[in-house]
Amino acid sequence: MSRLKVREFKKKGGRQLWVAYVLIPTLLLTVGFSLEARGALKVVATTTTLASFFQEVGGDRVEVKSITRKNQDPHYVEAKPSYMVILRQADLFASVGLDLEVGWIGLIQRGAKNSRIQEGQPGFFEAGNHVEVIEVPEGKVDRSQGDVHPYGNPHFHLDPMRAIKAVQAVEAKLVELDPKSKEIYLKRSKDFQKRIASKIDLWKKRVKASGVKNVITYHKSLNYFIRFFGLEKIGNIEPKPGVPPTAKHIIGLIKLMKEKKVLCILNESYFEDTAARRLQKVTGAHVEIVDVEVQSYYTELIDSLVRSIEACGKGRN
Amino acid sequence: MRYLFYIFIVFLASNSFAANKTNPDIGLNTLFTYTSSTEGNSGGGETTNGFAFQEAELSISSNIDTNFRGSAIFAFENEGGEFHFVPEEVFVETLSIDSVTFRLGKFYPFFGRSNQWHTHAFPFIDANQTREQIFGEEGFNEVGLSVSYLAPTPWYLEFVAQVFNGDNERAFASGVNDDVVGVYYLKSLWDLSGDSTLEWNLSYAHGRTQLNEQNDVYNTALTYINKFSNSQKLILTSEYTQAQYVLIANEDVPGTFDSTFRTGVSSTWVQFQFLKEWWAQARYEVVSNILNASAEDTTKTSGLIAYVPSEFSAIRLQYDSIDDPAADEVEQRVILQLNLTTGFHPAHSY
Repeated sequence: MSRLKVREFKKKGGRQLWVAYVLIPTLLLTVGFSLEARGALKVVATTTTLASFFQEVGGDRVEVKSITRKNQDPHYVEAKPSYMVILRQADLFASVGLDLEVGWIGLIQRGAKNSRIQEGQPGFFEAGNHVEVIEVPEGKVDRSQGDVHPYGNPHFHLDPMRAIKAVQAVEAKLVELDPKSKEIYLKRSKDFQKRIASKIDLWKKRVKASGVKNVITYHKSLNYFIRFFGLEKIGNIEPKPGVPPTAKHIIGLIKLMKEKKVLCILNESYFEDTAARRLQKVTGAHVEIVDVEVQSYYTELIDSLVRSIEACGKGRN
Repeated sequence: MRYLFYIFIVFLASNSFAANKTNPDIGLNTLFTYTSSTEGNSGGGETTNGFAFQEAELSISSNIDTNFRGSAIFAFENEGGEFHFVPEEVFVETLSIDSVTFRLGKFYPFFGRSNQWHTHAFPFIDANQTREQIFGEEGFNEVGLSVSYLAPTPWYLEFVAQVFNGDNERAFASGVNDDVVGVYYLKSLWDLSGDSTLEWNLSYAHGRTQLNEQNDVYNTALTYINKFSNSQKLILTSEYTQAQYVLIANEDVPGTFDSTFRTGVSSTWVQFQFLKEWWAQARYEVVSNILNASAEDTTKTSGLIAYVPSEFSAIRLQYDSIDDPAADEVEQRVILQLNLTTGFHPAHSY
């Protein structure tokens, strides 16, 4: 086609091309889209723990899915497009917040093309906004400190009292989105909170009776649990959040463990336990591989952690 | 006028009057290299032996309000020792329309597996031939509009229709001011298991070359990903692109004239993370004149080892063997790259 003919073609057909390329496909794609009749509230949570809170409070009024699996590290999740498919029809997207999911949440949230669950919309929930957090860094934060969470430690669910606060926020969000089922949510939430609260004293007694005073953990995931049960954390296997242990750091830990007579190493199940086993071999401390996200029920999660402390106390592995 | 448009979009994204927590996400990526090639500095090609500041990318992104998100990436590029400030991507996209996202601005079109990758996110230190041979060093990067639709299917199925100014010097620079390029893109991804996926891309772009010939560009790509554990992962990718290849006459060489031929480029690579911080990779690429069976193919074989202590830093060592029939000998090249990011590092697409 000559240059002249091209110009002619453009003059006659250029504007029509915009219609052909953009407007027609858009119309075809959007006309077919219609809102489905909605039954149960569709909730997608980033972690199994948060999903379990919504399930406990929502009962059969909600249909809950979790993005991460039971033993998956929520810090490092690949933003698979299949998560966008899960979120496409969600009424509520619940995250822990406090930058726990910062590395992946934005991509799947926007990629889902679901206006209800975008930031600032009623269908987006951050549990961390409703709980008092610890370890909020003071002063300047940069990457030389590792994968530090600038808004504080996001693993608050391992403190049962803070978990109750989060459950109350879950209840309020469900009531906001589905006011017709308010009574159901209030009753279920109250029952769940009671169930947690009723176990706290016994859990504390068992931890005290174990004789365990101090522990080493891999990451800072267990800091809320340690504080709540009056234990002392001597150190972390990773020298800085997200940084794998070095030989120098392990040697320092060995010295510290011997000095402080540490007998319990809690290694979160989604981190490798090679360094923990090395510490065990040298110091004789007990290694417990522990789940830090809900596997079945929330109370069972805390119960399993208490059992691990008891196992340390009894010198079992 | 075009730059005023970019500045306006960046201003929207920067939300400069807001408090600290609502400031945009800002990150700076820098790439430094050391190259040693048998072609050296005298081969007439683009290889330059020695140390180089390859590129710096400044990225700014933020939700503008409940309806729009803005994103801008500016590159400071080293071209033969001279630095250029280039707005690589400056666009706004919608957040509040269900199933559909509109994107307006300058950006890398959704095309093939690798076209949207920025330099620091290339799986190898240099761009794949499927991108570089067809669209030039800067890839396919245009000003225009796209609309993407996520289909209501049980698996991931996305369709993108796009229209751009035809300004790509290699494929679509027709010389007609209001010429447009239409681009269609289909992405399908299936979860084979909780840890493995299969992705298939199909792309088609059409416009006119600078010789005013119709150019139909086809691309298909297949990617298999398996994450064995937190520290072991395998990525297998194969991509094929076919397009018109334009040869512009060299005014200094009598008897040369403008011409085109149909070229097909395939690129296949494997990436294996064998330890948490270590990757080993290999790539094989072929560039063919597909209508001339007697024409010899150009082949490129690459191997790479990378130490990636965090998502913010990487040291990569790459070896290339480039067999171009037009060259006197096979070029052997080694490149060492330091890849650093400070500030916010947006998640890369899967």
